[in-house]
Amino acid sequence: MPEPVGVLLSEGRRYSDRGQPDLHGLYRTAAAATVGISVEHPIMIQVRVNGKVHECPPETTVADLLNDLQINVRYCAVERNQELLPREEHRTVRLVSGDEIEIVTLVGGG
Amino acid sequence: MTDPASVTTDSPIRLGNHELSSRLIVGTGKYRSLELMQECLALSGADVVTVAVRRERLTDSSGRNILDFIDLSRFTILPNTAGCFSAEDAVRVARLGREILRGLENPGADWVKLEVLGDTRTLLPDPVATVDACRRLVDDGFQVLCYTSDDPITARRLKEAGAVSVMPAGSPIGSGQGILNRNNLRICLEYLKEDDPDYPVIVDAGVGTASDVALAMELGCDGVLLNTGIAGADDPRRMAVAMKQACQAGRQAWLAGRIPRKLYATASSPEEGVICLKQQAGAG
Repeated sequence: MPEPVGVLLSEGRRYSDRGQPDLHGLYRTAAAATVGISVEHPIMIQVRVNGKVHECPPETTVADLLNDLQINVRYCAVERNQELLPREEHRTVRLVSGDEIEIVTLVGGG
Repeated sequence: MTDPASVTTDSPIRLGNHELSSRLIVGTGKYRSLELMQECLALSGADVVTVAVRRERLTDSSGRNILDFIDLSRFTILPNTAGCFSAEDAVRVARLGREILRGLENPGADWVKLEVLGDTRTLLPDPVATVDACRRLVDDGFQVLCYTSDDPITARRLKEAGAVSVMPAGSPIGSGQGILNRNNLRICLEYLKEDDPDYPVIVDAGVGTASDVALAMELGCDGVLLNTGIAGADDPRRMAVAMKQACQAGRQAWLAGRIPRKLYATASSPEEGVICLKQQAGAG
């Protein structure tokens, strides 16, 4: 296994690896090795998260995204392309380029 | 001595399948701090607190979430669709709120405070979109508590659409103007409770101070929902207590049955046995 590395993404957020040999981590490692080398095979995909462009490796699941963004999953709900994505599906649904993701929580209101 | 508790017994308010002993529902917005909010929620005596659904702030990881300041074993959360200007958005937001509360196993997962606004300046409801959203949410299994204006016809439409409670505004949200049109509210109550006296009607919005709450209850409303009246007061803690007491006082006055209003006076003391020599002319 390659050493887990942190990958600096375009928006400046540093992903911290959990040191687990998961597919997601491998992609990130691959991404680190390849960024700037291949333009024909873009490694990262672009999605929108809460209205902002966000890049992530292919095969990223919604659960990976929440983890990377350090979202408290207990207090959040996720919509994908304006459809609610039930909690049970966060681990299985993988992001596709162009996906519009909304991550919401509860706030004070009347 | 008669124990006051024995003469002020009251039945709980029933909203769909929820039974509440407090008739005051409070919002959680606009407090200076989450700690202050937490105290005021407790002081208000409310069983239900309403919250909004908003995007996670991805850049700010302060880690403080309002849910850490609400005792989920004590309060039933009422998610709202505040800020929605279309039926579609209101349905999306309601589903997201339900998803969060399901995860928290809070009984509030099965209901929603529906609010579909018409414009930002007045924050008045869009009646057409509200009726539409209400129908869709009822079809989707929600128990809908529906914010609306004090228009009796719209109120009736919302009840027909399946709302478990219709919640007319006393005046615009956060305006503190109190109950602007008590006659409309009385007609709403008459229409909604016709043949269905237990149908719950809650004044939602516009409450500025304790007397507004008392008036709503004295008119026969089943409850009051408010936020800014407490959160925006100089001393929110004291106002939370005042609102609680006003709600109880107004409710008791309604149950007690007020005297009719008359144009002329009726003496409280006996008219017989007065020792004054001069008799007032023209007395009835």
